[in-house]
Amino acid sequence: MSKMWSGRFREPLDPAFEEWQRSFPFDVRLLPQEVAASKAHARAIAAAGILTEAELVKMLDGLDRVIPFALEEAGAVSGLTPGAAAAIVALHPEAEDIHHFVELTLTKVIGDLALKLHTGRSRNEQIATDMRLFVRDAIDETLAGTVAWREALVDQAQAAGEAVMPSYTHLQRAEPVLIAHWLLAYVAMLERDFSRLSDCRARLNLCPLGSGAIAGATLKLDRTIAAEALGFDGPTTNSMDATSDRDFAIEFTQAVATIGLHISRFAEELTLHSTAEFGFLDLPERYSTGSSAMPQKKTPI
Amino acid sequence: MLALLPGFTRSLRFRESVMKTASAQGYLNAMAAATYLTYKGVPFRKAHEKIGNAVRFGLETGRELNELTLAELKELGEEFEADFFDAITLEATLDCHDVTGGTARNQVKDALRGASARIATDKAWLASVHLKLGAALKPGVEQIARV
Repeated sequence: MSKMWSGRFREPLDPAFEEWQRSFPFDVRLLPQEVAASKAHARAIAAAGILTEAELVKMLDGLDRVIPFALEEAGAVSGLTPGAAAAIVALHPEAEDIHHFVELTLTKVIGDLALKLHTGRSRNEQIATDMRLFVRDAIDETLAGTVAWREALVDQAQAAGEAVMPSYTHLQRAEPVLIAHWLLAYVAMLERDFSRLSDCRARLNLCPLGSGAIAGATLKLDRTIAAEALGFDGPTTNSMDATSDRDFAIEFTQAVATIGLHISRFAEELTLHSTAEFGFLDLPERYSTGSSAMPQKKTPI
Repeated sequence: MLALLPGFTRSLRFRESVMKTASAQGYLNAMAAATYLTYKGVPFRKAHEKIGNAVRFGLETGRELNELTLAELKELGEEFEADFFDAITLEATLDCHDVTGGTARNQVKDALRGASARIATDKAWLASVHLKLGAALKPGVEQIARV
């Protein structure tokens, strides 16, 4: 049995337990983040004298080849899609988790030099770092998405000019408003969403690498090296907090749930507006479905 | 889901004439009417009551507020004058909300300007973030495609 930790163990694992405890089936999603964080760590340990310049170059190049190598092994041709990730997992029952997998693959690519990578490192700091990178990527994508939607809303608002609509309180007609004014309500919500997410991003943007397992790395690492390499604003300040904190994930989930609420409101209003009773808008056919029973039906989805 | 929304939003076509008709009926100008009386010096609670009576009268005689005669209005309140009708047109009803964040036409124009400016700022910030990350993280690390 060769786990990353099997040195002091003599008894083999119960097979059912082994199957249950491995996280690779879901943390495979962190493959790009794990590679990036490993490259950053490689730079840090090179600066600490663990790797020579030549070894660092070889290791960085090897890490860059991990994903293409894994994809080719799994016969995937269109990049790291969820399907390709699943194929990679299926091909590697020996890999306990994403960290193990990257080290195994790196060993195939550059040989025994790969065994130096984990010097002065712990999976506790790796997963904390990978998760921050993953959430940060998700934030950046979501931020761009909210801006694109804002733009579409503003364009529609401008196109609406001085056209009017009734506003409603408790579904009773209340007062006339400009259609543009109604659309701008959603822009206001999305501006808050943007603010909330970019705030979350700023708060999570410190690097846990060098926090060790819990008490800090035992190697005298310059922690700013890895932090800068990964686009973080600096290293985290307390190792016990950094390795255990997932506040950023909770905050991100909350922010995204609020966006979901805003989308839901928009959908609900449009659903009402497109009824025969309201008759306010023509449903775009490209975004509607029909009914297999009722020929006249056009359903907003 | 977010990725679908810009295209979906751009494809919406509003039935503006239907919405306009709906906006001009049903005494939706009652608040504007009450505001008119307030500017004539009537305490708001009283103005609210007088317009309420006017709406009631309109309902009973099957007419909107702008279809009542000045004589009839005078019965409901001596403060009503000939300029009442201009104060309750659809345009006036919109423009009486002339505050920041209100639906007055000039306010909405300002709001649109502000919204566009903030889109430009946010796009620029996102671009700079992207640039900073691109410089830090070596290119060539593929991201998991999001379905």
